[in-house]
Amino acid sequence: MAPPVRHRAALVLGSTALVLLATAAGLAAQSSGSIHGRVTDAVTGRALAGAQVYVKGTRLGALAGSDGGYIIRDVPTGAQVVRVEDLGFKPVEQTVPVATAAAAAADFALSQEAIALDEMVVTGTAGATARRVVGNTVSTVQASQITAVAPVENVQQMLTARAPGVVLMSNAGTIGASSRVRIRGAGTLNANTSPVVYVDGVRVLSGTQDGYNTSGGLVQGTSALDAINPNDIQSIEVIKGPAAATLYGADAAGGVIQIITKKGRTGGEGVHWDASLEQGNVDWTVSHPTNFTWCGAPQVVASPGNYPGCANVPASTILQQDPLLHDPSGHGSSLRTGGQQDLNLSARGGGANYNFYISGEHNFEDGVFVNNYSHRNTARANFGFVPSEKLNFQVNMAYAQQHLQLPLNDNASNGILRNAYRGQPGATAPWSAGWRGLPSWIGNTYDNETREERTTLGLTANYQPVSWWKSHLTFGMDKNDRVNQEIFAIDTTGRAPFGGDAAKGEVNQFMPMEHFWSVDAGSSVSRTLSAAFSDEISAGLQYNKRQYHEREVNGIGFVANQLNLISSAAITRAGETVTEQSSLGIFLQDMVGWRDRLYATGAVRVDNNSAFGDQVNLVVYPKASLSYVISDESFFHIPAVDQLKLRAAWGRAGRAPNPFSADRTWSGQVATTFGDVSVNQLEPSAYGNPDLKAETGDEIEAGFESSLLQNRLGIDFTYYHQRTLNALMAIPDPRSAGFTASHLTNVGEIANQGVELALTATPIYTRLLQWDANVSFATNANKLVRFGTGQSEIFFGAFANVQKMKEGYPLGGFWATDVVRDASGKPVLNSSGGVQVSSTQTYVGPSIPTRQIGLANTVTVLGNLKLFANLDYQGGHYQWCAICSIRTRIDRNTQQINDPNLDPVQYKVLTSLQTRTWIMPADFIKLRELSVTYMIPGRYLRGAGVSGASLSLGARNLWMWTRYKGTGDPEANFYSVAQSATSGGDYTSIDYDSVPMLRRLTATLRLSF
Amino acid sequence: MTIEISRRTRLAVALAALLGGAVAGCSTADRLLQATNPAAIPESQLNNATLVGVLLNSSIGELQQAYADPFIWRGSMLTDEQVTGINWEQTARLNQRIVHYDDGEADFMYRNLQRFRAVADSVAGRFRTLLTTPASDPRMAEALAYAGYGYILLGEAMCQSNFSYGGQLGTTVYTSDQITALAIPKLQEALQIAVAARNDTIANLARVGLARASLQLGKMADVKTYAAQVAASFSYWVYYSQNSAREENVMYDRTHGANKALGVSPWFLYGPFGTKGQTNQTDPRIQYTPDWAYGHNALTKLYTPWAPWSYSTYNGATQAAGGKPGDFTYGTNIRLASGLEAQHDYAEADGPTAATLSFVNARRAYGNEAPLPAGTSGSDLMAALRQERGRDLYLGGYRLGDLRRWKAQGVGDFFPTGPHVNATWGNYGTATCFPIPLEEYNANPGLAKPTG
Repeated sequence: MAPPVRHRAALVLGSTALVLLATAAGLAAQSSGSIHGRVTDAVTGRALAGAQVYVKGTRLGALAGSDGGYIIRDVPTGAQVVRVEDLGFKPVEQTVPVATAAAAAADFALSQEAIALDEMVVTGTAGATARRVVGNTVSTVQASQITAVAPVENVQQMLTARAPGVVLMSNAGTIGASSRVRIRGAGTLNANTSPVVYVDGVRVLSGTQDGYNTSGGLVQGTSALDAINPNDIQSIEVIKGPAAATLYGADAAGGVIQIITKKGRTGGEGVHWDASLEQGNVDWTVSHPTNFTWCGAPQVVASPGNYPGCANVPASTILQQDPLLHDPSGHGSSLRTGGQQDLNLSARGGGANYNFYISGEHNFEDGVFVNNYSHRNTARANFGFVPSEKLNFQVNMAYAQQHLQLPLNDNASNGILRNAYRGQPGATAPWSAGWRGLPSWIGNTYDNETREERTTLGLTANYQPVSWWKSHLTFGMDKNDRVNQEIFAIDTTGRAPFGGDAAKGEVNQFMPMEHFWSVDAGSSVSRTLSAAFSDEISAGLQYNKRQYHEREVNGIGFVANQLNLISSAAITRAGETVTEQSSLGIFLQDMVGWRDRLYATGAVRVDNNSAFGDQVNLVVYPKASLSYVISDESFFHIPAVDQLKLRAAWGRAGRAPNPFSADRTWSGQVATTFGDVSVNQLEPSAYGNPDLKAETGDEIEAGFESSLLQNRLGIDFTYYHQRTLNALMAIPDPRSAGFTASHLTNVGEIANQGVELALTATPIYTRLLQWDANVSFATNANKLVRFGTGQSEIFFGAFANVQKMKEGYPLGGFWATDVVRDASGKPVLNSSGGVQVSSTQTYVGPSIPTRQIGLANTVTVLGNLKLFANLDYQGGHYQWCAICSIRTRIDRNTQQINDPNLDPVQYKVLTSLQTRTWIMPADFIKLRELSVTYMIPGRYLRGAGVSGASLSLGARNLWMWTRYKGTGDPEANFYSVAQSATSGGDYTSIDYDSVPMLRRLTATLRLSF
Repeated sequence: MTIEISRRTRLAVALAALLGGAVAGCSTADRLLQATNPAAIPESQLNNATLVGVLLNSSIGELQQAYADPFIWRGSMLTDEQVTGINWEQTARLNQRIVHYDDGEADFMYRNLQRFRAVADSVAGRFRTLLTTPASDPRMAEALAYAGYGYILLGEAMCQSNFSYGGQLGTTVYTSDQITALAIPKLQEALQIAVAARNDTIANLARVGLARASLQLGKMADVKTYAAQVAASFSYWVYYSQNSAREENVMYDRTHGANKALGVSPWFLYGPFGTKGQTNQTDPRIQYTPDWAYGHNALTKLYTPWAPWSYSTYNGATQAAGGKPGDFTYGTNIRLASGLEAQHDYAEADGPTAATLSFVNARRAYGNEAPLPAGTSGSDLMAALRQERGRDLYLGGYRLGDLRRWKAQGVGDFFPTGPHVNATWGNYGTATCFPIPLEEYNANPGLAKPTG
């Protein structure tokens, strides 16, 4: 049975785009003349595909094709100033004479620019603003350049190791699993540490999504960001903290990510088509545990009947098994090589008063388990309509279908990895030799599928009636409807492997619908105060509404497996959950400029949020920033420094609590009475906190941006110090009052500080050889300064309480117990010869990386061959290898514990409940991406109707170095969905039977027409 | 130029004022920020006479949530009733009589029992004003009886407890006996009202509860007074159902499927632990699978029990006689109170009397056991009584309270000791009850956290 999938949204989206296109085409202006030419790199001479060419003072323009060529039609006659811009290059202008019905030629050669101070950024500002004006750092990820060379399947991979201070903590290599995004450490104790995400100015859903068995860590959660086709993205801007995120108000204290999708260009350029086909495979290449049994081990000697494999063999025998790869009963490997394919087709172009970008994508990826895959189909239509010089409209529509199947892993008793890693060679086994519980051929029958339909719509009107006044209004909608279904076939083993209900045949459907509505209005008035001073005052309003409605239905007891509708089941059940939350904020900003080089900005935002209940509870977020392009001063003469901008910013942003956090409530439940009759009851649900305030992040950042050595080297350096006040912290409800969950409270202070450095260098820049290098480096020191509520510490963890929130230490830092030792460090034995675990916990280290380095290199040979490599280092943090502890203490199946020569005292230490051994440094370096791309010379393409073609061979996760001694990958973490805050929420970090990051090998053919 | 700047300034100010005004207009903002929560009602709205039936159901429902698990399943972990096949480490340690205040097991027990207690207390308190004639209304009696049981269960399971009432976090720590003592006035009032209302069922529930609490406190005369008034046929059930996942009896999952986790401990087996083919099971009250099998942890040899006497699917059949004992189902109900329990309470309070000997022999006959040798008396008789109590009320939610009582009252320490059946686990620990959990300390800074 397949859940219903609606295609209406796709049809509406497509037909709307076509209607708009046709309408706009009819309105195209009459032509007068045209301009054509080619855009190239001034040094290497290579074509700059995608460069923007436009006629200043008009809405006419074009994008350079893959050969660098462009044409602009319907250009008014006379001398026209043509400007060319391309990311990473200094803009160039040229005056071109245009005659009636004639084609004027104009070629442009652009030089690289390490720091683009005149580049427009949209994030963190009241509107698009030149980078030179902005007083905080804005990291820009040139997505279109990355997808041209790197094997990137989703936005999570796009963000990994690109921007300093942005850390994606992957949860698992399971296809479809989400990551935790942290920017500048951890500024909150509450579960939601994620930044907010906008796509073309529209707030979108971005967090980890739950489903069946995610809350217990049995199945990985999925990411809402995965519905975005990375090939549609032009660039991503990241602002990292309250100093920059003030204008985004509530929720923005964790930073803001602005995704800017590709657009066409108004003008007569025609249509450019791009197509790509990527084919690849997915493999598990990281090492994994092997199981051992020494037939002379104490547990074998004590219970020989439990180890029939050790009967009739010498006690010195060591049995060894790897059930994951070599099933002892002959079923072969549990892992497969997954297939992968990505097919993209896009068109972009424009007419005299319209532009468009349309794309479609089909992507699938198989995981290493047979019940893990992701299929994604996306469509996007971005349409711009420019009825006049004063008014333009932009309509952005995106539609995505995803179909995911996720396996049981991680904390699942029936998970394949758990049962493989915890098997005992030679021991009796309940299901199959070598496996702890269910073997893979039963575990693989677990069927958990999610079908998702995502529709995102943004409608923007920009109005600029006079040169000094501009306004915009954006309506946004992001709608995500999912159907998560579990099906259990009628049990044929007679042993109910998935439980009693499942054995009868069971179908469960969890159907969350999440809608996000947003309105963003703003207006700016600029004026010249004097010859030296200018001023721009802006005001705006943002309204966000999130609606969440989830329904769940269950059917238990099938007549036959093919009759698996809910309504066909013997027992049917249903449930429903509804929440909604609204926020409203206004801002006022004033920016004063002095001689186009010194800019002072002050702003204030006022927010209210439905989470605070009925009370009007306004929160005020101020900000101030200063930007000084000192290199524009006549007195500035520092050898080798081309440009230097100094900047500083101070600001405050917020983080709103969850809906209804203030209220003490009881919820409806059901109880059973005589005769099997179910009746209504009420149950304490939310303890609430009527005094709850919004959390505020308060940050100062300072730094500089500079280009040096004739634009061969760019530096962007930032120091930040962030303080979170009134930090929202979930504390357990007092059980003694009858409430059993957790509630939010405002506690004292959290501090984060660090530095971020982005280097852009072109060490070699010749026609024959070009080497571009991007280095990002970031540090973070995170500390809980004070609770302020009477608590001294809160500790938590899975399998053992190994993490703490404790004053003076990092949030969620690791704390270990050890055995009692003497002054020389030797374990002290008690009277019965055993070791004693100390009740004192000692600090080990943070759970969040404190150091991050990204190193991306592109080497271009002869303009046609590109070698690309991206290295990612994260370090300074630790990981709790719970599976290591469990295998050693309980399963006794590690090589170490089965070593006959192991010191007996050490044996006792390892098999005790101490945790010190198993909390390990988790530093790693990974070769995230490696590719070689050959751009086929144009001479081979002529006559085939193809203007550009390239072929890439790429790889992800090809190599890793790590200090981690656990199961293999320090990134693997079974807690993908924020657990209950009382158990550590987002901070719980644990290695327990998760799939490591998988290696991908791909071949990609890209064509332009 | 001057005029233009002035216009722009005015426009800027007007824009800001317009936006500000739009938002500051409280009625508009309030409407925009309105959010509905159909999943819950404010606690302040519970004092509503139309909710009386639902509120009483709330006490019933919370007992249902607390009784099978954690009170019975987790509670019996500390006793000689079961060996666990659970793979969860902290839960498994519970079966070794090791429980620390920061273990999730302590919180599981405490929070569920406290929620039942708090809801039952809250309902009884609200009924004093919501009911027209609370002094003679059986619903008042039932609400009070549930409240009384809330304290009984807490007293038997917890080493200590604090209580929070009316939004005030309680920092006074009560011992087990002090907790149990809090049950008595509530049950006495319940009994008084039930008698006035001529509701025998609630009256007997209150009497059995009073006998149970009094027995824990060593008030043997009171035990006999209350227990003697309970009809032998009386049973009061905690109901379960398969109508929803919430209403299911978790004992079904613990005894079925690949991840079953509950096995009969050696103290209640007919043969040596680890042997198969134990078909000679003559006592209908203790029946289990003749062969052991692995469950959730693939380590513990589990002799899975069939439904014992306290469960509604118990059928009295024995495998020795070729019968098929009743099984646990999701809808199997559990006795909360019974005439048989009252008889046991009475006999224990009565001591080694002839009446007790007669009662014990009657129970032995029911269990297909030979009568005690003539003249059995004193401690031998009381030991036999304890054995019959253990078999009659097996997995019924009594054993933890019984073992604690016998230990506290100097009868003997019958908690399991020595090596656990899982050799790698080592010896049993010493826990006899559940500590106040970490979560309560984290929520209630006024409580001093234990050291170590």
